[in-house]
Amino acid sequence: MAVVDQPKPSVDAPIEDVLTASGLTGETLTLRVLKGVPGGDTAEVAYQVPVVAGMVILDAVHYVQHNLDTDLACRWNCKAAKCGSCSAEVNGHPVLMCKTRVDDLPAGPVTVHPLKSFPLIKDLVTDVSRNYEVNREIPPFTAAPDDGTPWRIPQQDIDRLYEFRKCIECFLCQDVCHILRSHDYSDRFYGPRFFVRVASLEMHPKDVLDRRDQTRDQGGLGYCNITKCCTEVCPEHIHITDNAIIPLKERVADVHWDPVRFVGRKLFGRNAD
Amino acid sequence: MPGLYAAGEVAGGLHGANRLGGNSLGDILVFGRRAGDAAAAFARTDGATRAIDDAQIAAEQAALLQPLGGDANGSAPAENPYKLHEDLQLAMQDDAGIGRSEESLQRALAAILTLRERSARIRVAGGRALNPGWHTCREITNMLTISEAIVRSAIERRESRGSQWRFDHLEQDAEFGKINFVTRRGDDGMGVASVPLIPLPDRLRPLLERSRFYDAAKLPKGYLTETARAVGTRRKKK
Repeated sequence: MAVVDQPKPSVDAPIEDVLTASGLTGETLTLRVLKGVPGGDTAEVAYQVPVVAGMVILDAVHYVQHNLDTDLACRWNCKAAKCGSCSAEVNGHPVLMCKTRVDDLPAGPVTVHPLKSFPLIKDLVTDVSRNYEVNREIPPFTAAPDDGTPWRIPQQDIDRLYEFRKCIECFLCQDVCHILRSHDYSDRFYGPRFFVRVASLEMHPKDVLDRRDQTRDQGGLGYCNITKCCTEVCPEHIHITDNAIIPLKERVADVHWDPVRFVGRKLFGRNAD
Repeated sequence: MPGLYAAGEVAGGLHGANRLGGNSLGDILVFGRRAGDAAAAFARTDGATRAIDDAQIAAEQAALLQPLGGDANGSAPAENPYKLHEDLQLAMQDDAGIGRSEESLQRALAAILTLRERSARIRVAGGRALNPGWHTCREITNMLTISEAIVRSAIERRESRGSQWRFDHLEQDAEFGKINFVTRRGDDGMGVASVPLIPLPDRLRPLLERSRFYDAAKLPKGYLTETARAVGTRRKKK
């Protein structure tokens, strides 16, 4: 075998070979972004964006910000589908912009709109503060006083809770839910995200509070008619309807609609539960 | 500066030459707690209610609003803050990465100083509400300051240590292990001074001395040289 001399280390060797690989595919994407502020004119503005291999919609929005319109407002942070900031409606579907690849979309112009269920602030930025108000209404995890024994929680309980803990609070489920989106019941309906939160607390074996009545009365759990849109848009693939909302509905029904318990309550009072 | 508290990586220097991801998680917990406690205590003292110089506020406001003020003055064209950002990223990536040399660092410094001049002419459209271009104007000014401090300090540190591989000084130098470099704003730009490290408390010394990286003499012979050579070779391959 021929022996080739080890090249002398040229430590300042330029790395053009890395940098020249720009990845341009030669295609151009027409991005139609909704621009505007409440009370003013809001209209779609079309931008021409050169496509790069593997480009996601957030990249395209950044290209617009950097090169075409530095005033385009957009919330984003991690660009790794973990912070839940860059929620928007791409071609009408609620998605994370950082997780939506251009080459997965049908050919032609792509529309990018802000989340429709929340009040608009500017361009792609909406006011999601109602969600944080709802969050504060839910009593946090509360354990029984420490009796000195170590906690032993079965793995299957951990797994059940872990699914709910994956939530990144992107609020896509809140955006897509028709109770909030079409009926605008944000004052009487917690929304899928917060049923997930309530479920994670209610199903915690060490939590001692009972949030069932609150979830029914203030939370409006009964408004949900299980269309599963929230599950469909969840970027963390939480089974919101199957694993959180339906079990909560069952728990509420258990309290109020179980005939045996109903008789028991009549005979022995509420504490018989 | 009274009332200014730092937490996390910005507190600086805790991990010596090391800045691996995950280390700063410890900083968050320790210094977040310390800074929070100290800031809360400070807020209850008389010193917390001192007056702020109106002229200083006005100057800061004027500097912040300048990029929104229409066209750049003079004959030179207005600059886009994002373009400056990209140029700075490229300069730092190319010439002030983990592998660096006096030559490359001087190139980076020259690039930064040119960008600093260009940054005086940044202009953006739009108003003050949620204007990312305008935010970038502020950020790029701060990034230039940080980049200049990094590069000026790296030039002075003529050794390889931790995440700095100086290809013109491949070995670790025990003397540099006794100092930090501190940058300060002077009358004629940024100055770098070497400051002796606070000696390690005796109770911690045994922990560190067990590490081969603490004492260059304990490293296998030619350790850094060989590793750097291997990296240099890889970089050259097409």
